[in-house]
Amino acid sequence: MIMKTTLIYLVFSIFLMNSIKGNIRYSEKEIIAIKESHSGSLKSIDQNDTVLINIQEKVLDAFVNGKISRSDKGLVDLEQALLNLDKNNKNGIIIYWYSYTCYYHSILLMIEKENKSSEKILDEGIMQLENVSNLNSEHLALLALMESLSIQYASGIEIPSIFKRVKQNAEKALQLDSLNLRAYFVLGSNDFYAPEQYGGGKKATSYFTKAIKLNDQPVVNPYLPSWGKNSAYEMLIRLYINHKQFAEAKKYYQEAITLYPDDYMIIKLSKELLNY
Amino acid sequence: MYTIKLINVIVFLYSVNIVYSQTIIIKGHISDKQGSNLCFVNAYLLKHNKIGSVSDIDGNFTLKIPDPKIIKGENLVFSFIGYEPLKIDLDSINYSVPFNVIMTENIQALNEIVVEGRKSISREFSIKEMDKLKIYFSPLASADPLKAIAMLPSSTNTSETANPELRGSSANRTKVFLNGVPVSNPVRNSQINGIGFFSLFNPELIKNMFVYPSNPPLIYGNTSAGMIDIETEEKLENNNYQISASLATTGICASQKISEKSFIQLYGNLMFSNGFLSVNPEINKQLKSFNSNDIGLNYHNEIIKNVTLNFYNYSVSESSDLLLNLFTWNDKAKSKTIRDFSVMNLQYHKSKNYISLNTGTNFSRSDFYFGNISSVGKQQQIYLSLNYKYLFSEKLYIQTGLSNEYGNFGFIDKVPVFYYAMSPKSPSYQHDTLLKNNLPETYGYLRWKPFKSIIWGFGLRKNINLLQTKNPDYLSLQTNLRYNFMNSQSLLFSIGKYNNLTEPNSSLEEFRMLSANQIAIEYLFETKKTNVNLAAYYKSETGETIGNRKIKGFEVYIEHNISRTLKASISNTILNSDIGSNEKLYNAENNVGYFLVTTLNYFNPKLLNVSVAWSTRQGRFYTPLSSSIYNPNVDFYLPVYSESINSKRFGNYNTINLSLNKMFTIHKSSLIVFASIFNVLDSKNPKSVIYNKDYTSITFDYYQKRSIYFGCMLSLK
Repeated sequence: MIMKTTLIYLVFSIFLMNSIKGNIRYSEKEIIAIKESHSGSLKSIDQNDTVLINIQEKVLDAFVNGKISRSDKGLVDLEQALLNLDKNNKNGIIIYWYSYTCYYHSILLMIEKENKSSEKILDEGIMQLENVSNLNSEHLALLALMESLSIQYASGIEIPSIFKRVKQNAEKALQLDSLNLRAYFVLGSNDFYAPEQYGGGKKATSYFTKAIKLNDQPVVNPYLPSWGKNSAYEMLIRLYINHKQFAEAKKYYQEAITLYPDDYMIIKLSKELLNY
Repeated sequence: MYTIKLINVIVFLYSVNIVYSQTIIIKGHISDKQGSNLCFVNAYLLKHNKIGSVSDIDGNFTLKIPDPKIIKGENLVFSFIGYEPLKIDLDSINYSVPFNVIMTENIQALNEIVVEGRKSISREFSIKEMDKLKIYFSPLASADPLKAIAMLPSSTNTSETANPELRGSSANRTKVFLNGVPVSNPVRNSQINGIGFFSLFNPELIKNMFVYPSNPPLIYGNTSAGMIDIETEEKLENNNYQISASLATTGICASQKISEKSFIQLYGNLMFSNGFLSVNPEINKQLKSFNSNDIGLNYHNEIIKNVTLNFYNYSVSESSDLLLNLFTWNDKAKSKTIRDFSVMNLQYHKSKNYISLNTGTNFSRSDFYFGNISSVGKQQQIYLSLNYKYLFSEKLYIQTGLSNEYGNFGFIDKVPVFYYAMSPKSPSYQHDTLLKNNLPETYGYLRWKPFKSIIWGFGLRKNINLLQTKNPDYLSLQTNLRYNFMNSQSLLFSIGKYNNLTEPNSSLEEFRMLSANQIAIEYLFETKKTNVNLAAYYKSETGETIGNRKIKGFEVYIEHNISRTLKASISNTILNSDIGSNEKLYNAENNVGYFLVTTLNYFNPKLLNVSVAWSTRQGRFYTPLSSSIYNPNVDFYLPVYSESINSKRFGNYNTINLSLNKMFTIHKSSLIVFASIFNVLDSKNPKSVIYNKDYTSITFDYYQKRSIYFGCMLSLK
């Protein structure tokens, strides 16, 4: 019983190192490639357009643009536009997209090595989400995703608690909506990067498999989130590659590339599967 | 030509009109039951689900149906995250005029309230919540839950034991609850000096621990100081097996899932003294041997839907052999204790109703031998409580219940005729006592959250004249108010009157009613990097044999993450504690001007993890002797105490503790090696006075000297 502290300390140090790489889906080179593979034209915020229509795509566009131009102006403008839409800070959906924008803003700043600003904007997004009075399944899935990113800035001692919170929030998201693929994706990602000694790596396959079987949304709605499925595919394939189960990896790669022919991260996996 | 153009225009306009007239437009407004607009709600036809729309930011929707024929027998569906889908038969409504749609939150969302119902109703008024991980990560707590509490600024323990003493009050006013059942004396090996202490609780079993350093919530009874509320795990994430070995213990702990909703945890430790005493020969001078064997079991199961059972049982057998000084007699003291306690919880919930039945038993026998004293204490306690909680809404909860605490205490003692003459040849007499008591009580508690930032609690607890009890009538009352602001800050105000009945022991063989009036204000600031807690409190305690006690205190605690690898904390408690009567007050023994604790934790898994803590405080007060009178019949001197009660103070207490650990991973297993040095500087911290035979000269007995402890633990998944 005595000094089990160390066990958790050390187990999570491994988790910490991996998660730093894991949470950022895109490296610098990859961002450029994404840009090239991005079929739609990159839009700026058009004041005549309703900000919230296809907001998810707009955030990603602003992020990609920001990486290319090495400026976060697009994301800052989006954040401001969202804040202007909901000055009383009461609309749960607008807060969701504001936090989602903060998430990408934080990643952009992290890539630019502006760690203090990155942490600050991430905290802001998390705080806004936590303050939503009736958190729904999507809020909780996003909150879990953002908390997992916050591990980058946490001290070693805090990491186990954050890891636990991520899991709890993602599980809660599933309790509220068992068909939320984003919650499965976050759980899978969390398990993927957790060290085996702490029970990690056991359930990631099943979480990702569940995620890819679900619809992006029950009913197509341009105001609501639809992210996660391509990432779940990518991580599932990567998991099979890591375990040298190449037949399975290829099977899911075929499915993924059919659904997301332009997804750079999925295309990239083909190189790893070529020789098998 | 003009005519042709005109005809074309007319034909065009006509066709437009036809198309227009064929399109049906349905308009409406969507809100929830509270009247709030619901935006971005999906509105679509059930059979032709490609015909749909989304409500705007004000909750208005417009749906265009291009072909009127499809509308017959069709349903309009509204769906949104967190709400029950709503289906409206279009044949049954007049859709030619705008209509209102009211959506209800889905059952799963409402089930959140039930989940909320499992949690303690008063938890928002606890000033410290520690889950399993926080206990593990508490510096220098050695993964012991009660040791983790001893590191808090509200811990004013001056005796180096794990028995919690909070905010200047004595341990017999404070209670530890496990799943709603009081645990008497939650420490093992409490009589052993020199090797620290161990609480009865294995952190692997713990889900949450709430600390109420003052103003204990009245959903629990029989405490007039603070309380610790421990909840065991409700869900086991992974199977886990641990084996540990150290200078003084070997232990195992296994946690095993039985099914998705049930699990079992089993642990046991063998404690022995040879290794520790040979490495720490200085301690060996006083402590001759110690042993303890314990075994614990925790079983959790959802028996049927909505009904869960948790059963915990713990048995321990312990003994020690040490040199003891009492008055002027120095001799070997032998003690032995066997004990078994169990806690059973049966919980049922349906909708917003939550019922729990908690039972606890505690059976123990303690033997103590020293000089002409022999004492056998037998203890039987049975606790029963029935609790009902109703959640009106997420804003308002109420809880009420009944409880009874039965105690049967027997003492078979041989005690000195002259209390200061303790040699085996000194006269003694047999003094046997049997004490029984019931403490039936009822209580009510209300928790209201009128605004998002304000939480108000009110509780009362009253004894019941049942079961032929002779307890005095009493009523305990409290109110708490918490205000959360600026996302990271809280103010907490609590005031109340509390009562408890002490458990008899060999030095005070009676059930004694204690009371206290308390008022406390706390400020909590918590960000990722910095935590600040401030507290000011006043307590007026009555009922103890030494007189009434007035306690004023101020606490400050600052914790800061200097970097990702370095964390520091500093805390200080200024305590003013007086005892006596209204006419004259004296310094209480623990009237310690300051308790300063500083910690520094370095976390670098690749290299080493190191924690260091420096604790310092003023010495305790004691009453000096004025003279002594020789008693030739027993050849001992009678000590005559000065009238100036607690007029002398021991020297300052100073200790630096160091802890180091390192983990190695071997496949899926991990091996931790750890070492700690207690009292690194080997400071001599006086604990009590040792007199010579005629009380003319004094020396001191000291708190734990420098000691080294090390070991390892293997964890298997």
